[in-house]
Amino acid sequence: MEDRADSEVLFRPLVRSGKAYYAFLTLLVAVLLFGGYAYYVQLRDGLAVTGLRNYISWGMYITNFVFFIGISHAGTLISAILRVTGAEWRRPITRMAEAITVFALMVGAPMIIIDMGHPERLLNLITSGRLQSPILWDLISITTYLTGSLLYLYLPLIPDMAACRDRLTQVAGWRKALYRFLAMGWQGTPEQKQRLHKAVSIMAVIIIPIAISVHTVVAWIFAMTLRPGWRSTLFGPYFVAGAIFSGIAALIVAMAIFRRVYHLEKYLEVKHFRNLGILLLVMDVIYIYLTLSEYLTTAYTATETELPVLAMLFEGQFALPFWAMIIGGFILPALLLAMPALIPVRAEPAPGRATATVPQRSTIWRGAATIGLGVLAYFVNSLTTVSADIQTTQLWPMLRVFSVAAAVLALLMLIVPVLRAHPIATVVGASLLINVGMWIKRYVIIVPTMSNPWLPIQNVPVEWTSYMPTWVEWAITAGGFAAFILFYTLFSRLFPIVSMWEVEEETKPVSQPSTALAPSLGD
Amino acid sequence: MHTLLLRCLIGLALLCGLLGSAPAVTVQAEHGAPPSALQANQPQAAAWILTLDVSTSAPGFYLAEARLVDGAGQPATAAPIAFYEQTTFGRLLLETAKTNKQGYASTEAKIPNRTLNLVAVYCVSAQSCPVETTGQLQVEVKDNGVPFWSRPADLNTPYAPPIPIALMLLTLMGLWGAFGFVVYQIVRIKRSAVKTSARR
Repeated sequence: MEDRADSEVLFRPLVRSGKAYYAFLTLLVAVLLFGGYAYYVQLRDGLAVTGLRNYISWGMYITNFVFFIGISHAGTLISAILRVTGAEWRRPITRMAEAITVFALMVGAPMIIIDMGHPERLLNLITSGRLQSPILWDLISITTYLTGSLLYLYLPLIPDMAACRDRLTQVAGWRKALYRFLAMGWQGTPEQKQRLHKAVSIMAVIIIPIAISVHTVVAWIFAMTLRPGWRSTLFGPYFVAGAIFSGIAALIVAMAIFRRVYHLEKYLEVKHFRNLGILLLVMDVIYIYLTLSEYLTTAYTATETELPVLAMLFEGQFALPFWAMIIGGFILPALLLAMPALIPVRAEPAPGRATATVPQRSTIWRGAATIGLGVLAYFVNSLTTVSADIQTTQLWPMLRVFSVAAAVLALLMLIVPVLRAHPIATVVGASLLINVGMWIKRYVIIVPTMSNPWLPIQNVPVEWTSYMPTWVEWAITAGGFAAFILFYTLFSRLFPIVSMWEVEEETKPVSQPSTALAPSLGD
Repeated sequence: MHTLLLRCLIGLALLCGLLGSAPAVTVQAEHGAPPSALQANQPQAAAWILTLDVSTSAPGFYLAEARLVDGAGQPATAAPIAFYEQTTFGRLLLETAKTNKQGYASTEAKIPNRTLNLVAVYCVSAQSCPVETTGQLQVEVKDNGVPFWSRPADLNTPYAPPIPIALMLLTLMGLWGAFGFVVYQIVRIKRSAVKTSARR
């Protein structure tokens, strides 16, 4: 009886829809239609309506493609890896993760077709495709991944579909039929459970290499092209790490929204955000390391062809997004995630001891460090008033970065207590920054390299030598994001967004079967 | 003599212009062959005559040598000659070199393709280019020689290499076979429900 009352909160979004929901849906559909109109314009007038030209033929569409394929890794990591390793805390978040995978793939993959200009030419891949080409590998791996992800999303849905079939008697007839069909006659018999566990375990194991292969192949499309900035043996693992990194960040944002809108506080607790926050921090540090490795080796060798790309990134046309990505998308989130854990917590006062007049040692240290860093930042910034010549030295850019870093650190030291008091908001804030940073990352991988082909750009109008997205590309991009959110929202209104039977299984005695791999293999 | 030659050349140029085609003298060069071979001589203005020789200089390299003389046959000194490669997408500027006292300007680079189409242009100013000429070089590969323009074999073969493809297909078959097994489990879940209902 208590279980039934508990799960009511999970059924509520499936039967109740307020005005705000319909308003949100209308907004998403409007953006989607606007994106559809932009695509119609592109089909009618050709790719000339975009900023893409002969030389810079990849831009926002391919950025979106790599970004969405990246966040599709959320499902793989959280669900499959945690399922295989038997991490029990994963149970309330697996379905959200798996749904992200499917919808991200459904939006990301068509971006390639949009970029092609002529969608019918996709058939050429089938009729004239060369198996030597990474483009064909990409088609094969994404198709396999989407099929696997759909299966992997559907399998744990079966018991919940049976629950919906049995309990949602007031919904429309087509929904009853849908639940009945998807439930596959589930009655929870031992044989059915055993088969379900076996199927889920198989999928959990094989979906991991498939997901890794997908992003590796995406990386190879770049790395196997003779272009400066792309030819790197690091690209495979670099892209996979980036995908997992952005996937976790996307999942955290989705969890926070569902928690707030559907009142899932009981299911999505602080521990879920904290655990994912730790994973996110680990991936952030790994990604910073890989980024450093990537750019340091290239900059150190400084070949003639690589230098223009690096110059564009570090101090040229793309310096602003590049440094915004490095500082705002990677370093700042790492500090946000790490500092509440690294700065010592103020000790609880001993009973009966007055604390108002005696500051704690940790408070003193933090105050001193904050003031010190602030003074340092001010000192470095005011060096120019002493001598303007310092700006001409090679040391100056480093000093500027150092002073900004010191100022940011000082600010973070000040707000550490606030961060600690709001752990979910902190993790979500870091995740949002990471998502924006990772989108920019994909953009600065693609466009600067396309702007620097091996053969110099000649005999073309000057506006063809650089890339600036047009309204058509922005509209289609907005439409893509709207489609992703729309699919996700509709899914959460049709199906329980938390895997009810898995959560119930967690609370039941140990004698119940577990979905972890080890017990299933013993079946 | 010079005037006669000049008239002949002008007449030839006019004829070519009328017919809409340029005579191209193709030289079959080999690796390591000595510099030789005039490619084409196609002056388009009476005041200047520009000739272009393209030949292989070292294995994999070509030497393009242009000579600019005035109407009287006197070599032009310190005149900028721009060398272009004629590509599918237009002309690609390779180098601009100034003529020496004998009127020669040259450039040397790797041969990018089996057939190389070069253009030499003499421009007095940005707006005025009184004369240009084209040249072509075709390079044959000896049976025992390694083509210097060759790319990794897998990029040139018309068919995919069988062993990696077989491995790839096997992996794919394994994955899709696993999907099939999972779908079979779903079917069995459905069947067991039917059986249980019938028993009841």
